[in-house]
Amino acid sequence: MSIAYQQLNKVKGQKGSTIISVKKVSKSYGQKKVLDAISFDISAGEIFGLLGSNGAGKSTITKIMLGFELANKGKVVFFNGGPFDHKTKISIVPQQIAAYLDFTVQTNMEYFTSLTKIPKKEQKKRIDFLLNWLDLQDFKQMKIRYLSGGYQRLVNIALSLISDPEIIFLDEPTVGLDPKMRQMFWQKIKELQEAGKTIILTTHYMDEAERLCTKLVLLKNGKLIKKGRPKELIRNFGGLGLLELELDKRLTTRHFTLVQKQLPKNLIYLKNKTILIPYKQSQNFGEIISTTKSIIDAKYSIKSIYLKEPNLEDVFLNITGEKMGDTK
Amino acid sequence: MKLFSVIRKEIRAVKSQRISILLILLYPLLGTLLLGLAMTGTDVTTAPVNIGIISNGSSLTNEIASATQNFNFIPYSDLIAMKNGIKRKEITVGLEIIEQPDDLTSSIVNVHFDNASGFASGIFVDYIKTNIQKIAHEKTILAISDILSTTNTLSTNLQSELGKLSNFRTQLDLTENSLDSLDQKINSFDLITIRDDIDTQQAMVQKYKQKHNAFKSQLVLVRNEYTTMYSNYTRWKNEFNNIKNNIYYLRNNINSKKADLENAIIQLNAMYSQIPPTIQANYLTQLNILDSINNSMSTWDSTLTSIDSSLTQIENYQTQLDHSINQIGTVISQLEQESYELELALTNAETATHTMETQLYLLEQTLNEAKQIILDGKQSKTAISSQLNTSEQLFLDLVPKLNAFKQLNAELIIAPITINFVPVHVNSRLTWHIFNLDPTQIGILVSNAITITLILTCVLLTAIVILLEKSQQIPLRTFMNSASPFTLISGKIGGQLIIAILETIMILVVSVIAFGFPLSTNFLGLTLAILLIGISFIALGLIIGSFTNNQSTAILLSLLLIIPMLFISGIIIPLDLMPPAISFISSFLPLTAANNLLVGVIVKSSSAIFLLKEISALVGISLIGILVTLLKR
Repeated sequence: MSIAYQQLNKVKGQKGSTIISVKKVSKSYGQKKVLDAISFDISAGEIFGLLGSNGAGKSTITKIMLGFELANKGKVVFFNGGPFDHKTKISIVPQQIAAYLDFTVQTNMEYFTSLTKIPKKEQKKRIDFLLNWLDLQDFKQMKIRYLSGGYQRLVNIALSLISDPEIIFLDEPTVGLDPKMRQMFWQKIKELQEAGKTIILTTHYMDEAERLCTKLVLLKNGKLIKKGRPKELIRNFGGLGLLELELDKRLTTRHFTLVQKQLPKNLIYLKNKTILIPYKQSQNFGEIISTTKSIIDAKYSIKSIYLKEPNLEDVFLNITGEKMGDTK
Repeated sequence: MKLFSVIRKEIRAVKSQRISILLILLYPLLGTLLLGLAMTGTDVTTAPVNIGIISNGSSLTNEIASATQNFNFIPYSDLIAMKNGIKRKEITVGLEIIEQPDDLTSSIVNVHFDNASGFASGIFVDYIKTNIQKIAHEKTILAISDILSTTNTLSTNLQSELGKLSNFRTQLDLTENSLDSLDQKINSFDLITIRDDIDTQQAMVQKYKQKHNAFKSQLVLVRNEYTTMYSNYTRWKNEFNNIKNNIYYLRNNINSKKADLENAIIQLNAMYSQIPPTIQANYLTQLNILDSINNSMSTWDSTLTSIDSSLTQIENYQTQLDHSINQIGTVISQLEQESYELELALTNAETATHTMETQLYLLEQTLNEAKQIILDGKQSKTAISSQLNTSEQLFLDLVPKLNAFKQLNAELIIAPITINFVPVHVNSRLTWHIFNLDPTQIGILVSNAITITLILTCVLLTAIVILLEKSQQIPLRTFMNSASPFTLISGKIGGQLIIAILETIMILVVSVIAFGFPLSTNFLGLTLAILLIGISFIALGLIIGSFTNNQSTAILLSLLLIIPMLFISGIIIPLDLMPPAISFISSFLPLTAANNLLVGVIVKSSSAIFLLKEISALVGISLIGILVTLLKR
């Protein structure tokens, strides 16, 4: 029986205040510019997404934020200092596990706990809490090398949370995980946010960003192309949604004309037995539901309904003209 | 607290690598035992061993058999049979002896042994090899004696040759003097004066030739005049003879006529009486006239006689004149002859002066050539003299050396130093020790074993653990926690140091059991030395780990650092045998410093003051390693 993270560890302090400020950061490797005057702010308690395809500059900006690399121009401010001034408040969850693979989970936990400022008496309590929270108790005596990829990721998170950091950098945390494990990860990340942790999530999964992030930046070829809340971005740049209704038989011309009259602003298509109804996100969805009801009233049966709402993928496509992953 | 935690982790990290555990176990055990094997010898002289032998019954076979009496020699008919004997373990080693019939070629001993039997047969092979070398050594002594004898003869001959050289030089000096004398003589030739004389002579010959030509012309004129005169004289003489003859005839006629006349007068006088007187008077007148004619004719005759006398006188003069003319003719002929001879002489003189001139020219050339030859001869003499001096100096240098050879002893040349091994702590050696070494050798062995083991384990393990941590992204975690880099590095050093101490303890235990390593060694000094050596080697591992990105590179780099150090640290090859430059470089190497420090503590029992150089080097390396690692983070 897992317990909620927030039950034990709550971040004290003002939620919503800016804790990390990235100011016009540029970085080049030789002639190649990998970051071009990137600026954004991260507030306490939010899940901040760094979104972009491979080579967009996500890893580079993360390294600069953590102080592992220096920017050619611009700066990163943590609270009022640099990352090293607050390194005990910061933790990293790298994409690949960072642990002694030939040690057991318990040994790793104990070792890395011993390096923190947690008093000796509380260390065991802390380890037990994390193992319980991440459902790792049954695996604590196993060498990490022999754990599955998903559990290794969980151990990775556990090791990163030992010092109970306020700011957590998550680098592609769900890459290669099965859907169930992804759901679990998302749940845990949400719980961390609810506990007041600030999470910087690097991902190229749009659904993950859309689902988790409270705010995000879209990066492409080292440039920040958009930033904002996911819903705002989708509303503003996501384009049209699409409702597909598959009927038991093809709509007659008379009924199709009737549907068109009921939804005069929508450009409706008929494809065999399927009616395609594009809609704007600002449109009153009640009109569409009424039209659907009138079709049923006209003795048609609806075999299936597919609603495709615009998402961040569409935002990326609409802004850049390219699909995620096409960029070079 | 954190430090201990890191130390524990470090040991766990090493433990988690099976290869590390294997290395930790193998390095001290194998390293120590192998070194012991390398430094010890086994008494094979008393071992009951069968040795096969194929031989033609030569003296060498007997010599070898005599030198290795403790072995049982089993004769074989051929090589195949003997090799089969080795394969069947009938014999340990087989000897194939091929002695050459002449003294010009080396005899061959092929030692056949079972190379699949480990080092067991190798020991006997070495023993037999030693014995054969001993025989060879004796043969060498004989050969060297021959050489010494020859050297002696050579020395004597050299003395003789030196004498000959001296004679040769004297001869050269004499030759030079002769050449000088000849040169002086040649120089004394006044060719210019001779040429002037010849020119004067030529001029005189020309002058006399001209005069002779003038004289010759005069003589021709005289000859012509003389011929004309002679011709005229002959004509005049003929005329004179004619006149004389005519006068003679005339006188004869006159005398005849006078006689006739006188006869006629007589007759007339006789007839006078008979003649009429009338005519007598006339007669008489006539007779008187006849007398008068007769008288006249007597006068004439006297005149003619006088003329005749004059003619005779003239004739006498003529005879004298004839004589004079003939004398003149003779003189002219003589003059002509002498003129001819003079001309011939002048021509000869002219030819002679020309010949002399030519000869003088040739003489001049010959003299010049002779002078050049003299010059060349002198230069050659100088060069030969110089070479003779060099040769003489060489001979002179050689002679005392050769003389010194006479004092040499052939045995001494082969074995100039006799080494006696006198064990100091004979009683401390236990009979059940695996190896049989003296305390000094044990001390060196333990020092070497510890140094080699520690450098291999400390450097390699430290570098490997760092690379392991890098590959497992551990720095990402340690970077963002509250433990300071210094704590982390200290912990790493501490953990590795514990392993190093364990290794050392294992080596010491093995050394006590296997070699009887005396436990009375300065343990405090040894511990401090081990700690310092361990830290410095771990620091090297830290540097390698910090600058490499994968384990393979780290291992290769470590081996690249360690292996050359092993070879030039003095552990394998004595430092004294190395070239000075390598020896100098070696003195700065951590392995050399570590080995010297341990040998100083264990073998020499030196105090720290005598080991300051080594201690400073190791402290320096440790500080550099830690500093570089801290900065690299």
